[in-house]
Amino acid sequence: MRIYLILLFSVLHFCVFAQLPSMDHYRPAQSSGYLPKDLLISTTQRYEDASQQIDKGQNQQLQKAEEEFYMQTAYSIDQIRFSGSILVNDSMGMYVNRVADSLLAHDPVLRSQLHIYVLRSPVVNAFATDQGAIFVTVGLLTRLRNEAELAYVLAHEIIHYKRRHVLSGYIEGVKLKEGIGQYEAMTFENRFLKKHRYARNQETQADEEGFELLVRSNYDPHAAITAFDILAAADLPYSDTLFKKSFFESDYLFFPSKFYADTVKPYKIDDSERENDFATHPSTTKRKKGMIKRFGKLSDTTGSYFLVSREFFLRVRMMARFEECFLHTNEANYRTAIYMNYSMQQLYPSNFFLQKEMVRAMYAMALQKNKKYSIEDFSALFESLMSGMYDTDDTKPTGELGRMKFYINKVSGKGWTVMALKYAWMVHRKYPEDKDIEIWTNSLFKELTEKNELRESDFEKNDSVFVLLGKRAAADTTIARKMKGTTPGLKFQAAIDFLERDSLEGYEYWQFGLINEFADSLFVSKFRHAVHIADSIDFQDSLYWELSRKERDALRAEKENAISGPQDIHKVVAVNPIYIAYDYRNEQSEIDVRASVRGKKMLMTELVSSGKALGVDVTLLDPGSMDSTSVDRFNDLMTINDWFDHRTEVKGKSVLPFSPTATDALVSKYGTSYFMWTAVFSYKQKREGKVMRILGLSVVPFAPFGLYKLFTPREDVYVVSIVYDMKTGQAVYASRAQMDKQRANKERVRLHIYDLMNQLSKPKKK
Amino acid sequence: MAIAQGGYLGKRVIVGVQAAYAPRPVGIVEFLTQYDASGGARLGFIVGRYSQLDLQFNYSNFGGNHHFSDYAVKQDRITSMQFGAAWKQFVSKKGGLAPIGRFWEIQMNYGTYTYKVDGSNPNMYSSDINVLGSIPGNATALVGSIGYGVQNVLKDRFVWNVGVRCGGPLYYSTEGNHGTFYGRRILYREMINVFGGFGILL
Repeated sequence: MRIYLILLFSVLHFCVFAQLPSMDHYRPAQSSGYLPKDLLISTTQRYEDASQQIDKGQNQQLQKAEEEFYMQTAYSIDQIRFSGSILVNDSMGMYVNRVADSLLAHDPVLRSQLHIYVLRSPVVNAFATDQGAIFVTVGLLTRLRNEAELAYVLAHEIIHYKRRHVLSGYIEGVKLKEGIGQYEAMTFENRFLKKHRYARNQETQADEEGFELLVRSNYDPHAAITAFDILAAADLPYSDTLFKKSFFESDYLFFPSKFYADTVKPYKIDDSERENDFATHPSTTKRKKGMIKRFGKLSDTTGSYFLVSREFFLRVRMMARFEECFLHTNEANYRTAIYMNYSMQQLYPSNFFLQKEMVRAMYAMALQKNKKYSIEDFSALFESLMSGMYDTDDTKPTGELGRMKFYINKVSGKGWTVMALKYAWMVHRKYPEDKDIEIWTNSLFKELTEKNELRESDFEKNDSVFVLLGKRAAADTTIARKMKGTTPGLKFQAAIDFLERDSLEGYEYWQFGLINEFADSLFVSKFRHAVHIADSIDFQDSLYWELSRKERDALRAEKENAISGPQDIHKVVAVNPIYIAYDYRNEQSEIDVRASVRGKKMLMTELVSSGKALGVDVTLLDPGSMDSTSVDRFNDLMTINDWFDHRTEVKGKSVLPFSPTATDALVSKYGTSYFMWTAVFSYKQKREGKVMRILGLSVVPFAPFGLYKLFTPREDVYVVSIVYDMKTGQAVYASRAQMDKQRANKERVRLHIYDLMNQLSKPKKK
Repeated sequence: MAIAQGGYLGKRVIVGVQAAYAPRPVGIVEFLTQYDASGGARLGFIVGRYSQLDLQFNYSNFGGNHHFSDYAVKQDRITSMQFGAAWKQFVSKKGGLAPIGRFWEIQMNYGTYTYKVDGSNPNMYSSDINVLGSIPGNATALVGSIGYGVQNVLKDRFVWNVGVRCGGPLYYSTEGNHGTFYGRRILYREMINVFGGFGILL
C-alpha cells in the first residue's frame, strides 16, 4: 500500500511540475515591435480628437467642464506613457489582448476602440480611461487562477469605457461642486454622500454588465464570482509558501532561533457587507453576492475557463510572478521581493533569473540595513523605522510574508551582509560570466569591510570553535534536551540559542558563516582587496578630521561648488524633461495642462538649441520625440527610469542594485555617460492679504507696486537640473533655482537652461 | 566647439533709458503729494553670472521752498546732471541670473547742481533779509545709494526693471557757504526713489 501511495504522490508531483512552463531563459519584460499610434499622439492632439465628442446641447458650465476633463485625461495618459511603466507588444500584453479578442468576438467595432496594455506594477489593479486605453497590472496577472477571471476583469473595465463612467463621474463631481441640478438644494455633506453613491452605482453597473459580457463570450460565468476573491485578497501575496530559515543557512551559517517566528497569524480578509458611505466602490462581499445572485438566475452556466490557451495562461502568469520579484526590488520593497523570490525558487530552485534577482534584492537589503543616518536625517530615519515596523508586529507576524519580514528585521546589518555575500558568492561561482552578479558581489565585499568595518580577523577560518561551542551546548543537559539533532550544525544552533553570553566567549553567530569561503583563494583575494580600499578610505577620513574646522568647511564648500560649477561636458542625454504648470486658482483641477504642454515644448526646444549654441550635444529621450519605430528608445526610457528610481532610493557612493551591464549598454549606445533630468514647476495662486494691499495703495509712492499685485496672481517658479554620470552613479552637476513671487515667463526659463548648458560646457576650474 | 558665453542667450549689452520719481520727505502731506522726477540713459554690461555693471547719465530737476525771510517764500529749483555707475548683484538664492531676477544695486554718481529761484528776478527781494544770506551758487556732489529691484526680459530682446532706491550725498562742495543747505536738499532728493528702466539687449 505504501508503495502505491509513494507512486501516487510521485505521479501527482510530476503532474504539478509538468504544468510549470519553462522559465529557464527568462529576462525582464520589454516592449517590442512598433509603438502604436495611440501612444505617440501628443497631449494636444489627443485632447482635440476627444473634444469632438463634447455635447454642445448641455449648459456652458458643463461644456467647459467636459473640455477640462478631456484636457486632464490627455495629460494623465501622457504621464503614464512617459513613466516607462507601459509594456508594448510584450508576451503578457499580447496574451491579454487575445483574451480581449475572445471576449469581444461578437463586437469587433467595440474591440477596435480599445487599446490594452500591461503596466509594470506589482499592485493588483486594472483601470480604463475614457479614450479606450485599458491598463492591467503585472500584480493582477500574478493572482489569476484562470483565463476567465482575466476576461471578467477586462469585461468590467470595458463597461466602464462603454458607459463613459469616467467622464460622467467627473461631470457629476462638477455638478456637486457648483450645486447644479439635484445638488442645488443639498447640503455639502449630502452632496458628498450622493456623489460616492453615484460612483458605487457605476461599479455595480460595470459588475453586472461585465457579467453579461462574460456569459455572452462563452467564458465560464463562475469566474465572475471567483474574481472577487482576488480583489478581496489584493493586498496579500499570491502565495503563502512556508518560509524556512534554512533557505538562508548552510554549513556554518546559522541564525538564532529567536529570529524566526514559530507561529504566525493567519491573513485576514474583510468579508463584511457593511459599506462605508464614503467609499467609491461597494464592499467586495456585497459585489460577490450580487454575482452569485445573477449566476443563480442563469439557465445555462456552462462555459470554458480557457478560450485562448491554458498553456499560454500558465506561462503568462508565471512570467508575471517572475516579473513581480523584479518590480518589487525596483520599488524598494526588498523584503517582499525576497519573499516572492523565495516562493518562486521552491518551484524553480536552479533558475538563473531568480538567483540573480535574489542576489540583487539581498544586496539592496544590505545597503538599506547598513545605511548610516545623521542626526539631521529625521525623515529618512523615521522612514526606515517605519518600514521595519509597518509590515509586521514584534510578537506574532501575519502570514509567511510576515514571518519572512520578521526574520529579516531581526538580522543585524553585519549578519545580513555576511549572508548576502555568502549567497552572492555561491551564485557568482556558478555563473562567473555574469558581470552584474560579479559587481554586486564585489560591492558586498565593500559593504562588509567599509560599512560593517569587518576584517579577516573578525571571522573564523576553521570550525574548531564552532564545534567547541556545539559540544559545550551538548554538555549542558538542560540545553541538550532542547537540541533538535546531534549534527555539529544543530549543536551550534543550540549553542547560539541557549548558551549564556560568557560561554559564547564573545562570538557572534555570523563570525563562522564564511569558513568555507575563506578556504577559496579567490574569495580571500577579493576580501583583502576590499580591506585595502577600506583602509585607505579610513586613512583619508582620519586625515580629514585632522584638518581645522575652517579647512574642513573650505573643503566642503569646494565640493559643493564643484557640483554646481563648470563641468567640461559636451554630450548629454536629456531624459524626459518635465514642465508642470500648477494653477491653484482653477477649481476643476490644479494642473494647467495647456501651459504645461506649451512649457514642455519650449523646454525641450531650449535644451537642444542652447546646447548647440554652447557646444553641448543634447540627445532628447522623451516619448514626444519618438515615432512608431522607436521601441528601442522606449525601452531605454523604461530602463533609465528604473535606474533613476534606484538612484533616489540608494544614497551615497554604493553601486546601485541595478544591472551595471544594462547601464554600460546605455552609455555605449548614446556615446556618453552623462544623463540629465531637468524639471520646471510653476505655481499660480491668488495673492493673500487683499485688504492690506488696498490700504497700501494709500501710500502713493508705492501705489504702482500695490496695483500690480492687486490684479495679478502670485507666481512661483522652480527650475531643477541634475546630471548623473551613469558609470559611477554619482551626480556631477546639480542646480536648483527657487524663484518665489516671480513670473514663470519663457525668458526666465530660457535663461536658466542657457546657464545650465553654459556651466556644463565651460572648462573646469583648476 | 563654441566658446562658452554668458549673458542672456549670449547677449551682454543693454542700452536703455531710466526714470525715477522721489516723494519729498519734508512732511507727510508733501511725501504723499509732491514728487520730483529724474530721467536719463543707461548702458549696461552683463559682466558675470550674477552681476551687471551700468554706466548712466541722469538729469533731474527738483524743487522746494526758498525762505528769503520769514515773510517771503518762493519756489526754487535745483537742476542736476549726474554721471555715474551702478553695480547690480542678482540674488542667486532667489534664482536670480543676470539679467533676470531680483537684484541689489549700489550706485555712485557724480553730479553738478545749479540753483535757481522760480519766478521773477531773484534779486527783487534783496532788500529783504535773506535767510540764507545769499542765493546759493553751484555745487558738486558725490551721491551714493543702494537699491533693490527686479529686472526681466521681454520677447528675448527688451529689458525692464523697477525698484526702490535709498541714498544720500557722501561728499559735496559748494560755492559760498551753502553746504548744509545743499546737503539737506540733495538728501531729500535722494533719500527715497522709485525707479524704472527700459532697454534693448544687444
